Amino acid sequence: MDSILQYFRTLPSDIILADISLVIITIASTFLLTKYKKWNWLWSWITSTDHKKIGIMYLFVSFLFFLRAGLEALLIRMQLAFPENEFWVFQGERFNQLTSTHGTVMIFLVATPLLIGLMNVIVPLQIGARDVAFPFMNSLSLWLFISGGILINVSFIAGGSPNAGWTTYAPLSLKEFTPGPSNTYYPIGLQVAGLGTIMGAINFIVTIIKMRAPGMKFMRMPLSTWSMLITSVLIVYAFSALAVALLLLTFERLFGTVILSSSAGNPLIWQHLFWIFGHPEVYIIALPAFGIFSDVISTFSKKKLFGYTSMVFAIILIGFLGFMVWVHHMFTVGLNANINVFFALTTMLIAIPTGIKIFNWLFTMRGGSIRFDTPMLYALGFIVTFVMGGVTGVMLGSVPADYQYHDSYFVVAHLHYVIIGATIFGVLSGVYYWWPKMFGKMLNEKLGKWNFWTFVIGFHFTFFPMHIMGLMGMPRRVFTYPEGEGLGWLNFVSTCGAFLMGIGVFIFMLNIYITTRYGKSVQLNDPWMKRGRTLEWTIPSPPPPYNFARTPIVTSGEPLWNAYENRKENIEFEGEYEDIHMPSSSSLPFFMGMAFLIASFGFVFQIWWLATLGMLGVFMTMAIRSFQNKNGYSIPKKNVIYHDKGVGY
Amino acid sequence: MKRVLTFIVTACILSGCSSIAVLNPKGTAGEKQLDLLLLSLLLMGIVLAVVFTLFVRFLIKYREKPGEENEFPIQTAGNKKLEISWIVVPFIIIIVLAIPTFATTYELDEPYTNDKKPLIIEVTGEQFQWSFYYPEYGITSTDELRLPVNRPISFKLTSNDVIHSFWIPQLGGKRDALPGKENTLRLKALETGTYDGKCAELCGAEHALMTFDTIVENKTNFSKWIENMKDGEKDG
Ligand code: HEM
Ligand SMILES: [Cu+2]
Ligand SMILES: [Cu+2]
Repeated sequence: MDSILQYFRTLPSDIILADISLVIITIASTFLLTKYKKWNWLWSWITSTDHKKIGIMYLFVSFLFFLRAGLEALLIRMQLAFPENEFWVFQGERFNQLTSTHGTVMIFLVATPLLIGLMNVIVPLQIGARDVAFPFMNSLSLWLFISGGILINVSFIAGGSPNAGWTTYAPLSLKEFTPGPSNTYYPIGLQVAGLGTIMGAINFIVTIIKMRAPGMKFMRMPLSTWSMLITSVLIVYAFSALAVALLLLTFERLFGTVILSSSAGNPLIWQHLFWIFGHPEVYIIALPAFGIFSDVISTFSKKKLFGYTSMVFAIILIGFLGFMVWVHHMFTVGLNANINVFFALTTMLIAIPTGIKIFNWLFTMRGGSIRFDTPMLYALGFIVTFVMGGVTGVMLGSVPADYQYHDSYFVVAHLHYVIIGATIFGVLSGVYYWWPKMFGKMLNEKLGKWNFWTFVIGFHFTFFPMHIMGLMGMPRRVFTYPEGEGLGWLNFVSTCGAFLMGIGVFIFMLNIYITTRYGKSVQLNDPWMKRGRTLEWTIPSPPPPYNFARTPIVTSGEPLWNAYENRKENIEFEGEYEDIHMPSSSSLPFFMGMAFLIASFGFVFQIWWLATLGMLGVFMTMAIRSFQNKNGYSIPKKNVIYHDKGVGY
Repeated sequence: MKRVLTFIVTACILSGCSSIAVLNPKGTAGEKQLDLLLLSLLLMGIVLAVVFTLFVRFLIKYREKPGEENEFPIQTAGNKKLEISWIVVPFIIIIVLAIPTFATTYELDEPYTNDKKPLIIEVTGEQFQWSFYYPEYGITSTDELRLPVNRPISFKLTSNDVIHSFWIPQLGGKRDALPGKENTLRLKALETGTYDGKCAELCGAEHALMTFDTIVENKTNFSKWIENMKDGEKDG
């Protein structure tokens, strides 16, 4: 007992606090689940293979990670609020841990999975499919993401977080300079999560290519679906490069292979591989947001998307060029001028398809009839914010000027303008837009507007000053800065802005709570005042497990809108009602994810029996799956008819 | 947008633009980089102005007015001429920016010819300090860099452990100091004074504290300092 107490005394106060809150949360949720007899309900979600439920779980879990990384952002901002500040324990090493996990969690466990979650819900609905192509694999993707995420998240209370930045450059990330488990968590956690992401991408590619409703040609697909298709292709290539990089780092840390060290290897190998992944990643999290905005802007302007064809080609071009610009993250490492110049050119060129998209969005609104509901507000906020981020992106592409901006707060400003401007605004826009489709209730508009204005104003106050801080010579990832360089008040403004953003997020949660608790159910297929244009608005909200009772027949790019124009209530569905075959739920993905988690802990701490045990679990669940004979179940025709006639018409 | 503009203006007034190091260069490299910064800012300013004007105009003009809820606006699929114009115009803007970018990149990469008599300084970064070796004089200084004004300098950068990045914002852009590799950074200080130097690449716990003073002096003072350092080394 004494030794345990002694151990707790050695822990810093923030970790003790985290431990205590973890215990309280666990006890509270166990208690609530037991009291309201919700264990079965929870299990039915965990084992579900329904793309809508999986999507919602993706959204939920990544939102939890967002809260964690957002809290870290606030801690970072508190430490930096004043010159030579000493806030709590967050100086030196601990500050590096904060920025590293903030960045890593935000990119890999927030931005990417939030979009994958939203797309999981929406893509099958938009193409008129009953589920994704591989429902079991879909659930497995989710559980690999969650177990990788847990690993990265607990590192903080179990041995130390990664502390070499979200980019984890060698040789700082090698055992020699950062001993202990810290930077081993990074490659192993991301490897597991990344495996899930690759599977998810393959799933979407097959789903979109093979499962579109009759008549939905490629050039009739909504932009959200298009962007998800291209994103999935990018994921397959980019995350493979990442997997290689992570494997090299893992091997180097665990077994001392000398590949990335400076003595016999070459640390630049890491940088190249990481950015060959890293830049496309930026588009992986931006393109689906572009898709969402295209749908939202067109819906709330009551206008067909301007230049649909050029929008599609712009996405493809961006995806393609996105693989040819990675060296712009490495302009200062001393590659020769020819290389730098080539990558400067490709970087600037990418602005052209991006510009095409911006102007097409603007001209979609022209001649329309614009409503300012929250999804649209976020889309408009996106245009302003993202254009500013894009502009600084072009400035960063100008090599010699980048020698000044690189690794300074100018870059921190730029990256948040594009990532929050596109991805986070995009997800919020999409969540407000499709919330009634997912849950059958509208989110409150008034709170939505409060949420929007606090978040966006807070955003600009937080990040605009960072441009100037960068030009004043403040490097990124510093835990302190001297008095008398004029940085003080800019940083203070930035910190205040961050808290305003925090209030925005709080209002968002409040909105969800209030509407879930007290909101009225919407009885409509298309709750957005008959502005819907695409297939997801032709079915009940929330949709039945099989989505479409009968197959929709698609004759144009915007079937529902065309029906409205012809004074009809909905599109035509064809064919007879039939028994519908559904995939059965399965607990294997969950167990496989947990087995991966156990194995990962074994690897991180180099406890080989544990690692072996975990991997045995993985192979066992695989074997069980291979010999399993679960062929799904059938929903009888009469139930389908009953439901279809009862709701929505 | 207005909020942002007022913000820039107040930022400049309150802090005085002069305290924005990059906008107030005292070195050759820094001046060229500032030129590019200003050119790109100007071009991008035009882009911003166009986008924001259209944005505000369309939002005001085409918002739904009461009574229009059930109307069907005319649907337009696109417009070839417009769509081509926003491919061509950005292309031109990019060319205007790309040409000086390329020229400056090559220029900064150009080695000094011997008749310019560059001063070579071997810079070594290590956790968490900078050391500066002057082969011409055989002296080493730590965390304090002294430069003669108006003489071309050639920094040879390397590291003893992890990656660092050598940055004196007022003199010019940064260059990484990599272990096992030598990078070169060339610039000339144009005015005497003291400038902040920093490490810009995350290198461990005290990365934020890995700073150094850069003192640019006239020829006589610089020679005096060299003599002092030589004496100091003999004594030490
Ligand atoms: C919610 C408000 C947010 C605030 C106040 C915030 C604040 C910050 C700050 C101050 C830094 C710089 C840390 C440093 O260099 O010392 C930073 C870094 C970073 N942030 Fe955020 N951030 C926020 C949200 C986000 C979001 C939503 C994302 C992405 C989805 C994101 C991604 C990153 C990344 C990738 C880095 C770089 C980390 C690194 O240098 O390794 N942040 N953030
Ligand atoms: Cu990039
Ligand atoms: Cu450093």
